[in-house]
Amino acid sequence: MDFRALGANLGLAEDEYRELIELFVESGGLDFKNLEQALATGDAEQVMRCAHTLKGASGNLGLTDVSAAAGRLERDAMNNRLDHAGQALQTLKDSFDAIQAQVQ
Amino acid sequence: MTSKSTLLELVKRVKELEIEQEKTRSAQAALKESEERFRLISETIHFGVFEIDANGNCLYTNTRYQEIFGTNLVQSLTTHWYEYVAVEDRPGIRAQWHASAGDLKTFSADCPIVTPGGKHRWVHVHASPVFSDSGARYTGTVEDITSRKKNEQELKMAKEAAELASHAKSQFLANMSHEIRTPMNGIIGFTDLLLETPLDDIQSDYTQTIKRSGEALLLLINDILDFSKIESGELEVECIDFDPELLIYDVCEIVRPRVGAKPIELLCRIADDVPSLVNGDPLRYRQVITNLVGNAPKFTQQGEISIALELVDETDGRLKLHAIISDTGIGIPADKLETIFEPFQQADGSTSRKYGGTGLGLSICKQLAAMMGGDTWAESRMEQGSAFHFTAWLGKSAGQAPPRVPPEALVNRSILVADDHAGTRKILHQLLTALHMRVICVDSGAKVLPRLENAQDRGEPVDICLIDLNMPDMNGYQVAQTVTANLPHPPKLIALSSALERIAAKCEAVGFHGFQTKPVRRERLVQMMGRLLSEGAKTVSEDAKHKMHTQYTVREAMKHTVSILLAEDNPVNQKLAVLMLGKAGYQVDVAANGRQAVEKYRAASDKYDLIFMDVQMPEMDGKQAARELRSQGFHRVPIVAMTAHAMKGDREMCIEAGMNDYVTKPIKRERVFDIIAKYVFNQNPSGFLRQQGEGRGMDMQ
Repeated sequence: MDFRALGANLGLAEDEYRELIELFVESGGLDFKNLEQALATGDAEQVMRCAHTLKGASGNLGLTDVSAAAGRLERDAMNNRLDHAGQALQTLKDSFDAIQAQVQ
Repeated sequence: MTSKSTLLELVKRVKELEIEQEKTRSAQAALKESEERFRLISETIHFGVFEIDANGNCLYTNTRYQEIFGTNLVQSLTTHWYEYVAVEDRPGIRAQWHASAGDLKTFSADCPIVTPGGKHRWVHVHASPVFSDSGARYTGTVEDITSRKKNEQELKMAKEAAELASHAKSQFLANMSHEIRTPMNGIIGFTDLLLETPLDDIQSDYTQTIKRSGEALLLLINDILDFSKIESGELEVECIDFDPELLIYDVCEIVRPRVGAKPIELLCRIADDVPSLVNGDPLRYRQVITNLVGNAPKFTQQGEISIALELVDETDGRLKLHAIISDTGIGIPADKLETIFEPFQQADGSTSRKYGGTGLGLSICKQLAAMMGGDTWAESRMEQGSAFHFTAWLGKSAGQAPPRVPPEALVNRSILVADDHAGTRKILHQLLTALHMRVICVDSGAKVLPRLENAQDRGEPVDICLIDLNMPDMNGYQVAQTVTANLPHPPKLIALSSALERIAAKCEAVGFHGFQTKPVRRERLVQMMGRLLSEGAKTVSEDAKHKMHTQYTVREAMKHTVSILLAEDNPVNQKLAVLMLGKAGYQVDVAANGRQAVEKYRAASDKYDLIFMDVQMPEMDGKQAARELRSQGFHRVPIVAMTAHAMKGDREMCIEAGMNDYVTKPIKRERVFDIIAKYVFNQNPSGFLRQQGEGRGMDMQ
């Protein structure tokens, strides 16, 4: 991922964008944990809420992979199709991990 | 007699011979002594000594010479010294020697040599030509400088290493500061979130402390980051157009709350020839001014704090601005005036404990000023006050600077200023005269009514009055009451106040038509007066014409004073929005949920020009918050929803909840700026409607 280019899209310098990404990894990590937990307990509403948050924040930062995966999860939860959620969760986790790896 | 005379002659000759012999003996002894002295010197001296004749043959070497080159006497006399120079340097040295010898000049060089025994040494060879009966020769000395060379080399390496280390340290500091800032943002962000959860008093108190400490730490880190960036030469200065006058007023607005309730006048003096647009780095320029003025409220208990801006020099493409920030505070001891600009120095060690601060601020100012081709310095008198100076070279703006045309509605109108503070009167007089208004100044409230009546009697009634609320003999409220009670056609009255608290209702009750905070901002005052004077008298077309003249100026001016309330719970989105809007020059306040948004807006309803409202938030969502605000009577402020379009009909629900518009996530910069342009600038081109306050008929600022 090219942080410089992604930052430029938002009119931000690379270090400012990096700061945002780091903040996202931190707060998004919490959302992700909550999402996993909600999935485990079958709490569709909570899944929807967490996925929605992740979708919004990642979308704003131009992290399209994360945003798309979170969007799928949100839709699944909205349609109460949590049985489909496994794959979307894995995609979300992979793309989230990729960002985390790049930040660290 | 002949034999006798012969004998005498003989004796005389013998005597002479003896004298001759004695002379010769003593000359020989002297020579021997001299030779002995020379030999002793030559053999004990620390230098190698040599003599070479015109043909290049070595005639003499001393013992030290042989020691240095590691040879015996014979070798030393049969081999030219340059044959011992290290192979790679030999041709050069040999050429140099022959060149000197050819011109009969002095030879001098440091040479690396290798002895026949394989030892590497550095020698300094110095030889001068000597002229005598036997022709030209060279005599010279050889000095072993191996240890000196070694020290030099070590010193050089040590210096390079030190420089490298210093750079690495700055680099490390810059990286570290960034690394520290990131978790700090987390700490502060999550502390904000924590404060939104149900906490008992003690917990809330502790959490507030964490937040305050976190913010203080972040400020410190930012200072260190700037400092290390400057040290490592990584700080870049931008070149963009900005309005220095607006910048100064913006700084004043940051400073005003810090003055608090202290009896201090805050003044801005912008010289008329300061251009409305210059080209440079507004962020860094503002940083210097903010830093220099930032100390004033701490050290000043009463009197005045002023920022003056002058044009002091000009070339074809550049101009030099001089800012003077003065206060009537405790002052700085003469011997500290220089050192306060050095890093980690404050006038007094105890100062930092009492007043806080990193001790880096002024040092950063000095370096930033230097980067702008200028300087900072201070003058002070103990117990009388200090003046900080800041000069900088800036580019002239290539863009067409909007001319400061005085609005026609004000030209030749008559205005009375009542303020007991001479500095304020002077500044207002200058500002209003430049607008081609006829200005009368009085220094006390009691003089207002007589002057107004007098003007009316002469058939030149005053159109507008600026009245300071806080005057010793008769305060502004009393003045307004007296004026409205005694004059059948009173002028428009505008209240001036340094106070922060909103006293709008009280002002309105006594008959004021408008309200301005000090220092008075030219654009705001002009707009307010223009509207007050043209009320009802102006046709629509005139208004449109006027709008065209000043739209650019007003728009730029407004941008800096537009305040946006952002309701958003996610720390990432919060920070992104603050960065984005802040960079564009807007003021942003953040509320972490709907309830906080309602509270923040209600506490300062005349502050905000626009609310961006996230739809999905904990505790109270955006729609509820909008409904709440509208139901409390706040109809005018535009509320714009930020929605991820999760559900169909979201938009309709937002509008139904009383919001004006919406932007979809992911948030696009252009769309956000369009929305601001639409709701803050265009809908209200003069841009000052918000000064009327929610639901009030009075002009507010």
